[in-house]
Amino acid sequence: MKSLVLGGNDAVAYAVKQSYVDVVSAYPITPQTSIVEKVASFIAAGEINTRFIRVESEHSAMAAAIGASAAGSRVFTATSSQGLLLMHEVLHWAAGSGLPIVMANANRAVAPPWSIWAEQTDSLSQRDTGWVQLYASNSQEVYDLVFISFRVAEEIKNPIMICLDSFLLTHTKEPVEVFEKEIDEFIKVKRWNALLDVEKPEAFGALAFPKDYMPIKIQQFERMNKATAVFKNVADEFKNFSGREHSIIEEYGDKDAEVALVTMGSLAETSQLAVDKLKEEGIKAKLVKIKMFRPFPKDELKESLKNARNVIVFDRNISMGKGGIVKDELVGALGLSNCIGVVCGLGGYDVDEDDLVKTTKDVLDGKIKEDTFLWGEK
Amino acid sequence: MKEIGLHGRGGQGVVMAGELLANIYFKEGYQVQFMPSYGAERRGSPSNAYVRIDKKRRILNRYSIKTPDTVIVFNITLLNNIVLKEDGLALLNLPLDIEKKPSKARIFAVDANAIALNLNLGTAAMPLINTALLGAYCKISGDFSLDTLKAVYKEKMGKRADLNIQAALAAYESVREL
Repeated sequence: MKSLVLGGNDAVAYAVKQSYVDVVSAYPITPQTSIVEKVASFIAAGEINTRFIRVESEHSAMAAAIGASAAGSRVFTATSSQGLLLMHEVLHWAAGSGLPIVMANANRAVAPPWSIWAEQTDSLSQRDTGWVQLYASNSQEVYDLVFISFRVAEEIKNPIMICLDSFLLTHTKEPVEVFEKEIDEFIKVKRWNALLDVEKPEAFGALAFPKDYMPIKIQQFERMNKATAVFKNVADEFKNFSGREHSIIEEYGDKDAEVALVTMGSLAETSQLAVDKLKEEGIKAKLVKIKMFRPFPKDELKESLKNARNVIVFDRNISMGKGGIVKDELVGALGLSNCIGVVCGLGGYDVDEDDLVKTTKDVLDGKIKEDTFLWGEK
Repeated sequence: MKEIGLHGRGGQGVVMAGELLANIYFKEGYQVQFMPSYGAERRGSPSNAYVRIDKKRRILNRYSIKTPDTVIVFNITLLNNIVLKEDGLALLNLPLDIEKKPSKARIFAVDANAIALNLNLGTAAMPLINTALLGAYCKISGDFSLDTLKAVYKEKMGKRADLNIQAALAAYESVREL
């Protein structure tokens, strides 16, 4: 292994380069573009044997990915925000067909007004498409999750979306441990066979009457739920190659904390600084980072939050008419009555550790009693 | 932790300089984070990049830098928009000395344009001054060795490294305090 200073996008591209990907189909969009540009440059330099399909839209990018995956290829694509939204219909097709496509999504705020900065509403509004969703906090996680995702996707036969915050992660560069060849044994063998067979022609996506449609959907539901257990096994195996651990939720701070800060993505990094500052002030706090959002890690979160008197969810996303999406999911899954949702950082609005500390103290002091926005001129 | 701001105009190699600087610090053994600032940048418009460094801890701050400890100013016309800590350190790309108002800040200047043009780096309209400025910064910060700078230039620039190392050395020798 060697250490390089890489951004999240670089990290994705390097991992794709090392993952024996057969096909990449993609359409450019800021801030994702440098992922597929880099992959294209590896192909142009003859460093990898990957077919790059240029397409005229994100809808077509996913359609091509579906075809290639059905033909037995290992397929990668990347998109962001408006591009992901344009893919929406075909995301359902990929998941419903059980295809192990891996996609990186740069979490960028949705227009209008135009924004290119960080927000997770784009991917969270694809919550019900049947894709496994993972949220990375730093470039090392992004890199590692690409390898883990191909293995998990191929084992459970379900697509996986790896989400990384726009600019705060896609373009922010930091040291990343990169494999040389030692990951080959983990990633080289493709565990996926073609659905399409020229000797045995079949039709896919045919009309299903109600008596067939419903059991097929139940099957899909159960297939996707396997992601939790399979992720754990694959992550254990990955640790043997990398020495690095990955869990579907991760904690930082005092295990028996009185207050838990729950979040996803790059905000989980800043939250660690907040937990440290709260500790200095005598407040026992912990961070609970949700790395796998779909399937929702209900049991793990229940266990993690059982002793917390206060739970505060910091959501860099918003569901109009409801509030923070992770907060809503968490309360829905665990029936919490001690949970405050804080919507923050929309469209890349800065959130620092002092903001998180102040909000946490305001909740503990009873100054914040209901869901709110973290917002103020800086 | 130390926060460094690099401020110039699109085309001056500000982002490249930030990335080089992060790599130099990393090679020197620091924890680093390079955070370019993206917006409506284009050739000639203000362009900013930031580097955070720490001797020990991995950098966890995922938000923009407001008040850097150190600034490297590629273009003096931007001075009014640049914020620096009260007792900070500034490096300016400047041919002639300007009057320094009394302050706790230490301010240095180097004629990076002349150095770059002497070595045919860039054009008269847009000299490539980023590698020279980092040479001057090496001297005034004392944070890393010239050898580390040279090694990173060689890794990142291939055949063009030698000229850029010459630029860095010239700036290292000629940087002056105002």
